[in-house]
Amino acid sequence: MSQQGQHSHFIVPVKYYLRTFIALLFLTVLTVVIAQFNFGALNLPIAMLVALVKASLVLMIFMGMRWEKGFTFVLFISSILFFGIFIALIFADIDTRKQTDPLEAKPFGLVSPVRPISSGNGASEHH
Amino acid sequence: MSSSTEFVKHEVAHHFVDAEQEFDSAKLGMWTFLVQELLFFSALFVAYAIFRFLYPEMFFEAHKHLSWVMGGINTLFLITSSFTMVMAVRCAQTNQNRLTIINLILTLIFACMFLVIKYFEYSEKFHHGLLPPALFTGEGVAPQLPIFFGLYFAMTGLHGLHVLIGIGLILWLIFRSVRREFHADYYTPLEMVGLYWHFVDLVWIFLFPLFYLIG
Amino acid sequence: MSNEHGNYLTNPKGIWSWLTTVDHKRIGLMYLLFVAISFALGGIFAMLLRLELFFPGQQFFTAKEYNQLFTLHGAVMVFLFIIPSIPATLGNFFLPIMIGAKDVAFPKLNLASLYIYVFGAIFCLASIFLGAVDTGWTFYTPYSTTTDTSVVTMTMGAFILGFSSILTGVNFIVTIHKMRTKGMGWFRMPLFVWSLYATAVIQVLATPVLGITLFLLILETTVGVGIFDPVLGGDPVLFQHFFWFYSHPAVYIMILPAMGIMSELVTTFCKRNIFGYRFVAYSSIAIAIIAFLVWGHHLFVSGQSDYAAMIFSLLTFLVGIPSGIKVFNWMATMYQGSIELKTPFLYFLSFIFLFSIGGFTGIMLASLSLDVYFHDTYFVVAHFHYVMMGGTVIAFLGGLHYWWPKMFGKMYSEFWARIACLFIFVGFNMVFFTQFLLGAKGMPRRYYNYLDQFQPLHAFSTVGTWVLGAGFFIMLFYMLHSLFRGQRAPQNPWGGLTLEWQTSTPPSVHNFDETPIVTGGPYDYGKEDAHV
Ligand SMILES: [Cu+2]
Repeated sequence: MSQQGQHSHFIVPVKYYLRTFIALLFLTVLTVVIAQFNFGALNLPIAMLVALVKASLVLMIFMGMRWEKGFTFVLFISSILFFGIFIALIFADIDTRKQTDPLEAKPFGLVSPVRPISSGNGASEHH
Repeated sequence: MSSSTEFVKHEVAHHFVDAEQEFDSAKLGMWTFLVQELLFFSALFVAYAIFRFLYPEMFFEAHKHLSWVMGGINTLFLITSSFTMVMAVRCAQTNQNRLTIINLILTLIFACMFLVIKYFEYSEKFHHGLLPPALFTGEGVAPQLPIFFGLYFAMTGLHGLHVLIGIGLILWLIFRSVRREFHADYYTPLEMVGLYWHFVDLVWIFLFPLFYLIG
Repeated sequence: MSNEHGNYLTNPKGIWSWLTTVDHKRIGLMYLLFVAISFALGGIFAMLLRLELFFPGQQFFTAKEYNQLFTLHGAVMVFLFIIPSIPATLGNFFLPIMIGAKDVAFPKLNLASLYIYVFGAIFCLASIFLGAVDTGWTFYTPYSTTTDTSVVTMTMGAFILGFSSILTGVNFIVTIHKMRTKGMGWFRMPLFVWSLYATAVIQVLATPVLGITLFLLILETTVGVGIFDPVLGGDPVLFQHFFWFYSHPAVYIMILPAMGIMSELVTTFCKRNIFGYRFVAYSSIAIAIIAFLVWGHHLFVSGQSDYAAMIFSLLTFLVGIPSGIKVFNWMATMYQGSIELKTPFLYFLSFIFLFSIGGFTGIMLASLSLDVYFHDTYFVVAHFHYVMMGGTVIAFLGGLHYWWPKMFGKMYSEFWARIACLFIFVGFNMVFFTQFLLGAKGMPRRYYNYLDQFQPLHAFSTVGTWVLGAGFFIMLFYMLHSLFRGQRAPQNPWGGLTLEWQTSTPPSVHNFDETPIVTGGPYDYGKEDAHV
């Protein structure tokens, strides 16, 4: 009988699910409590760390990644990696938008030859 | 444990060699789809990151308009529904059809509660005019305040849409469970919707601190 | 022949059996029909554009109509034609057969992709009548959020088409992982399958970002999100980041399957094993990964920071490595092969020639200082068309001629096919090589008018489109002739070794009468009885 179907699949013991559930509840309360205190610049990283732990619990236990084959893991990790690339390269732009290479600004004295057609009131008023 | 003969027998589709290949394919397909979902949301998170980086004070002021109590309760609802979902799958694996149905109904209830609270949150925002830019009539401390609510509605709205779709899927599962279609030898749809539902939970786990708990 | 009753074209019969089919071969053919119609439509738009440009000054269209035409040409060609062109037609048809499977992993989902595609196409075409979009196919903000044309309808269409593409990608990934027949190890897969795999990875990872970008654009034009609106503190350049995070990898969705076809053609028509199988296979994956690192090269002059531009420029050069590996390996495969100059192989040679030019000019455009000059000139237009048309379309035609006998069981006229190939090759170079010259002289893109000094080159380019169009017209003629009057095709007209040539022509409903078992590599020419 087990030959024909999914009988052979590993059935996760209830205690895993129950403990995960309790841990998630606890972490939710924890993150709310932490948010009441001010850690300055660390606020966001701490909140994200807790969220990350919660997410990994859901991913590993509830979604069963822990018992999954390797490729699923590679797939998921790589998607997070691409998300990382996305955010990192965009910040490479946003974070350095105002900086110009000092060489460009000073010795050559480069000034754009382009001038707005109507200097003065035109540019700011219509949009 | 009841014997599996009283369940509806599942036919393996013609192009698969056996049930194992069919199940594995479905599962890999679902994971691939979730990867797609992750990147679907990713651009929104990137946008969030950029504007929080550019206007940290505005975000801090704006988040005071959101109620962390409501957000927190919603988090608990979704986590609980994830737990009942996983229990529904497990009960199908052990041929406990009645418990599968009960767990699915519980999941459905928590999902609906989530949306009810979301409804109250949204209507409060509508009342104060704290809406995306074109509709924004609220009073703001910072000129960029509409962006916060643009992002808030785009992200939670899209997430809410996923919850709504999830509710439809769970209803479909309940319908099929009542017809005794899921059992130890076949529970693929349960497992798939389960994965989807946990993913919806996963997104909310990040949305909650990012919008409601800005320290 | 006994299987005449059982082949997929005739069994079962009736239009309804086609519309509800879950057979990947029939779905592939229906895609082929829609893709061909889209190509014709986009081609007509292109001919009209070129006609306007024959002389300077206004000829047939106003400036706005011209803008609408080039937008439609771009959008139809990109979203309706070239993205689904190879994967959804030839890929759908041959991927399962090449790995010895009866069908793709999710046949119903496959049919759903087709209908989603049709649904999205309806939106795109409807937008023509609701005030055709004039933003260019890239929909850049802030113009796209302020123009009075039907941006929402068009982007809705592209959004829906994106999901068609994603679902095809999901289907292919699972099919390749789970549906391979006995003995079909990863490194016994034909290289076309490898390239489809890399394509599917990009489709799944990048297309959702386009979806969300267009979703945000729709929101921005309706209720507003503010993130692209500088008045509120938003950033219009952000739209370009989001858009190109998808749309650069999308270029590899277009070119990778074309490269896969090249590997099939070169082995079959040289009767040699591919030189460096693993390198060619891995380079597909490498291209897929690098694809995600280079999108900023579209933003060199749009206000992106200098540092980001330098990073993106450097990363873009890396694309040359795996692309070069492929081209060199194809050349090395030809060395000492017994080359047959059949039509598909003529397309192979055209591809090598045109893609190399497209690739090298790509390197030029990736270098910052050159791009500042070339940006938004005809040089970019020419580069893009050398890669997309000289690469993908030529490969698509090569693949179509290669597999046509297998798909329909009919041969086409080799003579007319060669004539058409010649017309297309010559016409293409007339149109687009000219545009390199125009661009280098400073002719900006997307203008209906130009300075008098450019007139001879513009006129030459326009005449080229007539030659090109004649080539396609000849093709239409002999293809239709082949369908209705063509000679019956043998099982294996070119002496190919991959699995699709081992089954009957046209294939039976379940592809194989017996499930094949694979015992060797896909291109073991020279070994007796190598396959199956
Ligand atoms: Cu690019």
